[in-house]
Amino acid sequence: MKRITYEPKLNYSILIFVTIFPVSISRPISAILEGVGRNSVWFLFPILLLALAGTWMSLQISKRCGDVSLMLACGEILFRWATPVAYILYGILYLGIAAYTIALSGDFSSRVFQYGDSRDAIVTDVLITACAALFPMETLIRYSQVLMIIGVPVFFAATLSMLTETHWSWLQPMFHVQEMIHPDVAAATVMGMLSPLAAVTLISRKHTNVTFLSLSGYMTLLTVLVSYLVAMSIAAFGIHTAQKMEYVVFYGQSAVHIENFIFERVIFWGSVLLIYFKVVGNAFLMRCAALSLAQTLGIRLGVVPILLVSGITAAVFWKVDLPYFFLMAPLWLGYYSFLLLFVFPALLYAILLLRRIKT
Amino acid sequence: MRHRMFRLLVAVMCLAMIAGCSRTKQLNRISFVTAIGLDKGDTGVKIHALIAVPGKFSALSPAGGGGAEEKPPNYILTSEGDTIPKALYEMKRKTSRDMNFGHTRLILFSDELAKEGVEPLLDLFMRREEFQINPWVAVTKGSTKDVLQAKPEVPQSVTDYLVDTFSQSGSDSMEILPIFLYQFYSYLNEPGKTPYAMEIRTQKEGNRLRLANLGLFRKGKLVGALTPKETKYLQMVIGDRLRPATLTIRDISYTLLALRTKHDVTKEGIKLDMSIRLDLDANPAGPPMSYSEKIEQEAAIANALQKDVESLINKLQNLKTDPAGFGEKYRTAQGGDLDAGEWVESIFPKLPVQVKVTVRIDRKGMLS
Repeated sequence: MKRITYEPKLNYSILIFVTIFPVSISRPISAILEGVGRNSVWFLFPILLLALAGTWMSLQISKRCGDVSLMLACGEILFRWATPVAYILYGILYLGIAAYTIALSGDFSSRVFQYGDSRDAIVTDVLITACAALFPMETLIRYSQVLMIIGVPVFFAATLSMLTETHWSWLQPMFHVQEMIHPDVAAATVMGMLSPLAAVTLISRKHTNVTFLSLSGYMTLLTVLVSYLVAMSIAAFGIHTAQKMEYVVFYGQSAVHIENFIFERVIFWGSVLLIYFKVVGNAFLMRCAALSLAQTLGIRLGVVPILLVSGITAAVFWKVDLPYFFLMAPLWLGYYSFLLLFVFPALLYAILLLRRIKT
Repeated sequence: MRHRMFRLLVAVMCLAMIAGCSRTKQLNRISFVTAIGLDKGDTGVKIHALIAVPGKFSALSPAGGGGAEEKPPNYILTSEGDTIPKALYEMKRKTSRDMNFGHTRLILFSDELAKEGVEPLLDLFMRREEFQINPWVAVTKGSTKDVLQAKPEVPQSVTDYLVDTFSQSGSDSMEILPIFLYQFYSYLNEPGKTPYAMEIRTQKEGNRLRLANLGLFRKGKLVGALTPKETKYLQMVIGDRLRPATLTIRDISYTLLALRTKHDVTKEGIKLDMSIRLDLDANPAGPPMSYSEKIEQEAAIANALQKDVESLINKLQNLKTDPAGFGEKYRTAQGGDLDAGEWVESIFPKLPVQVKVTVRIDRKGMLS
């Protein structure tokens, strides 16, 4: 007799967690520290609430329009050609997020592994991401589930080493208005960090089970973990030094050196683990961008849209001014994410409610 | 099926391509710099790089053994330049191998250079990814090359000797207060504490090197030093980690069993409350201590310690340095804002100091 294989339900929320996590602990942290100083520890949470509110509205719109994606619902609520326009708008967002996360990943690798020119590492990352994006979504979700069980706990076990070299008083005062120099920049950066949440707009809930409770739970967990790492970084370096460092969390872990221990350079664990996170996260985002493009053109998602998106990304990075890109991308992404993650769904939801009230 | 095969083929190709077989440097073409010494040069800065020769370490060498007669397991390259990157680049012409700084565990400054200021010199070590941010920082009496050229008996390498000492995984003492590079850099930028660094000297006998005073910095310049005894008291004042310490009062020696320090730093002054438990280590001249003698001795120790600690803090105030971190306590007490310059120049030197020490002799060793 054949044994029936038990297939647990695929958890979309975990994939989004695994996608956002490596982005949120790299360069964006430095921008947030520069913008709001010690307030960074709690500043993430109000922005998270905004992002979750927008996500809730997106899911509500999807639910009330027959469990279709937000873009298709858009066509029902507004006018027919709003759907391809929405696909284009969200496609640009996914492409932007994918490009930014791949750039961060390549830049990090080129520094940590002393690869040399970060542009080469970024383009190599685009190729690896394109290959990974060819795998179906179910594969990516399963991969992320394995990472969640094994990778996340090991990563945080490695970060515990930061506790040995902390000055807790450097965190005080945690609520300090004078240090809120650029709260708009910090808010935009946090919103940009959480922008992969926009991928829920692509989900057709007929085939995939994703609940707001599950999403909000994982996002809250993520924000708590990132907040912890921000606090540890400030406690390890002090706010003035932490603000100057590009990859402050990485350097916070790098600061600890356990003598006569087999893993003397604790940072090695974290750096290697993050590669696994980035491969699946970047692949997911590239797949989202390719899906938007495919839906806009009215073709099926396959090899061609994925290779097209990766080609555009690689071409952009071959030419772009990287320091300027890293400086401005979080802002552009953040403001754009705010529009599409919160403002646009809020507008649609308001129109939906008004129509229901009228009828 | 076709798509699956295609994906598998692409994945295998990628794996092969990222193996990194091109433009690599083999291990036997790389020199590992384990320590860097910086002296004042004629034109800028003079750099001495201590490079390890793995095959000459006795633990790894087929011949085995050690001793000062054999060649040391390191050699030194020296270069001078207007800036450190320039000097390091010119050093490449003096070696056939590529230089790797990923294993640099020690950065030394000569006292002459330290007096001129080390802050601009730290930028490269914090900025370049190749350097770790956790090498130990120390100051040398005289040229750093003299220290790097020393030939300790055990371990054979100067870097290993100093790393063992600073990490306190070997010999540990409260008269040694090590500091990492990133801590030194942070203390330069944070308002509540000023950096410090141990001073290393060479000696002809013994293990060739010894740690002496603790150099104190203000605005990145070496301005003074604490004696080993004062360093011990400083660590007791900081109260972070308890390490082996011996106190000798009235020719009777004690070891430190436990220490609790409480600081209170406000506009009214610095209040220090120290509670110490001791173990009688050596009392060669005296008879067995009675209870009343014990109480009297505890009072004498407390009195002596109080005077010594007050004297230490007064010295720090005169030097306008704050390695103990009183400024940090003051900052948090005042709501979070503190100007670093104002603290060391005008506030800290004028604060009255009040020290209270409570001593208890808990143990009397193995002799009753």
